[in-house]
Amino acid sequence: MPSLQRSSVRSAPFLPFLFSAGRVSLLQAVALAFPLVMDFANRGPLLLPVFLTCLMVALAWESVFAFLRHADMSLHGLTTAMLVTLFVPLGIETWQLAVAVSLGVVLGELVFGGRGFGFVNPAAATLALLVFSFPQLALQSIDVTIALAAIPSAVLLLLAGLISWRVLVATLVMAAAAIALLGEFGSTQTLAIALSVGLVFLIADPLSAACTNPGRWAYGALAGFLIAVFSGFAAADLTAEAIVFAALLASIFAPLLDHLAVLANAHIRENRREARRKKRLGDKNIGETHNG
Amino acid sequence: MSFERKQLKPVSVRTGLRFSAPGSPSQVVDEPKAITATALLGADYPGMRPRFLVDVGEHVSEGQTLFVDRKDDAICFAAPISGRVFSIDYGPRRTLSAIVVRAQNGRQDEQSEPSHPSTDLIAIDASSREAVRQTILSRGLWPAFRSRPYGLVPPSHQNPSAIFVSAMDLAPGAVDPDPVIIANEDAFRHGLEVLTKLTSGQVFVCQSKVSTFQTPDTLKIRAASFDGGYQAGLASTHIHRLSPASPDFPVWSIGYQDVIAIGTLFLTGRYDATRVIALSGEPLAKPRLLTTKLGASLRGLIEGELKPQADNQSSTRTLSGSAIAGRQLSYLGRYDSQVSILSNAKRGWRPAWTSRLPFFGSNTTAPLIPNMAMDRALPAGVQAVPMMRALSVGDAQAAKQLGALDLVEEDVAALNMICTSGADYRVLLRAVLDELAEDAA
Repeated sequence: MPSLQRSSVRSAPFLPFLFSAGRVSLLQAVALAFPLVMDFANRGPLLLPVFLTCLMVALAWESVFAFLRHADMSLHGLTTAMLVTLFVPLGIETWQLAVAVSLGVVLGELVFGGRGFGFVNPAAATLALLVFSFPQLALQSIDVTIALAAIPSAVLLLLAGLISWRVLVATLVMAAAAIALLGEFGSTQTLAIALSVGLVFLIADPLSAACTNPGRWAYGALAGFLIAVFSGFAAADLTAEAIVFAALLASIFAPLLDHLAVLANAHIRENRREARRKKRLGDKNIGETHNG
Repeated sequence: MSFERKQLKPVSVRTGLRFSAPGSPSQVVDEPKAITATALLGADYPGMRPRFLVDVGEHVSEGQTLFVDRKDDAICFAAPISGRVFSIDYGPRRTLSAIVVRAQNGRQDEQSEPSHPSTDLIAIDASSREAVRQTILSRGLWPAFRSRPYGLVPPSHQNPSAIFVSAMDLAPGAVDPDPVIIANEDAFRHGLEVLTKLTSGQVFVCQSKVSTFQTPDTLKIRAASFDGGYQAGLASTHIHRLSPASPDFPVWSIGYQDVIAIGTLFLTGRYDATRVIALSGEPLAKPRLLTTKLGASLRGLIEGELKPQADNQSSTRTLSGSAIAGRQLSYLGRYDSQVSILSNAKRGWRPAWTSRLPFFGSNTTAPLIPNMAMDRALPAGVQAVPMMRALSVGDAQAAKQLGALDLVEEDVAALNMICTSGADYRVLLRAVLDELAEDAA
């Protein structure tokens, strides 16, 4: 019902479309399609079984949970599958992928009640579990064509209000600064390419990022610093693993950062009120001003 | 206290959503329409329990007291038109649902003389604070004020630390206050003078940066100008910027048309329920401004106004208020000066069966997905997503910490349009404010 009123919000052009969580996922899937299509073009049809495995496992668990909860079936697993596919190497065994996606989707999302109720990104959880469980696997690193394809995705998501420019800027600046100050910087290009997809879809994901503006700056800075730490302060060694772990760890800290931002806001609010009160108490008309 | 007169700095609100306004009215006040029925609605006075002074079927005249607040019986609520009491309905816990007054013979009495004794006996006396207070209370204009925090009609003994006059409305398709104020300038100025008697603080007249009317500049009346998106026009923004309210230092807000009504009362002794309202929305044949009375029946107002193709009940929704903060009522709300008509149709581009599909269907439990637009939707520097979460779970203490006392229902209405959860944050905020008010009492 609110879809019509939504159409009048000029400041947010995609709002009329984004009236449910399912629609948000659909838009994210459209955004993910740009780099994924590029990835298919690069790595060829061998990527298809990987993608289908991810998709079927994720959707299977979603339908199991929908059945157990007597809820409508949702398709949020699509975005998880697309995102995981971008980072998974071709040599992976199907059972390894199935186990990791199962654990990631169930523990990262479904046990909390589904998309929008948890606090970690299920794709980040899947990839982290994959790296932990099978250390011989190296995640696919992002190449320049995919990084370029992530630019329209970022623009789309920014316009839709689904990612925060504060998170993007804070992460990039912090990662670059930490690496430049404490290690070997390499080139901005290397850094931007390595970060691209992970930054837009894992770190800036609205459900795992902080949700207050000061919190977003702090969250981005934390993620950027963790990326620098996990890559050993060398841009050349910036791997997908570093980004995945940084995203996962930062998202665990996001609620804390938000809590601090809320406390700071409450403090400022209280100080303003206190200053007003003192000013009024200083007024000689206090007897009249004060509400008996 | 310093006596130097410095103009208040204009405030520019950088955040704030901007809305498009299809079906905006032309700002020319049209001929009044015949009013068949008016009502006072409990929806405007949350938690208020009435004690009725009239019975169903009784004849009442304009300005006559219909009922008083049972907890604070100095506060009178007046009849907007002369006519017969058609119905009295209670809501839950003996609160007011609605009292409907119907004009006789389908049209209201044109006699302007107050005929009821209660309106005659109390002389208009503006000499002292107590006299002003008694006059406004007994003549039914007290409910024009809303007190912050909690957003309710103030208790009759309350002394506000400031009074905020909202002389701007940035909702899409709203009435432009300038011509209305200029047409009633004497009453408006007199009303402001009367307001200064009610507070030992200042009376702030909040107007838009481009407004053309002149606010008298005295020691106690201050003009404050605001510009920006929709949120720049909300009283909460003005209060937060100029004089934040707290339980110890309450602040009142009042609309500019009520200031004119108070001015008229003190100038002529007449209770004036006349309001200029905007009829706006795309389904209207001719969006325009109208003169009507408080609480006028919305069905009567929009009768014959819709475009022929939109003229049936199911294809449109009528809201009292703007398309953003409006409520689905049968009569014009006490604080509304706009009636918005929204079209229900236009889902044509997707067939109905798609609602069974996962991406298009509605979830049984809908989550709140943070969107950057939310951060711009709330006034008074309130952090939106934590506030929405606190309201969703009914956590009053967390909401208070986040600044719930700086908000009223109209402020959070914009969130309803942005959130995927489908929650009505106005209802959730009211529950939290009621809980906080109860704790404070």
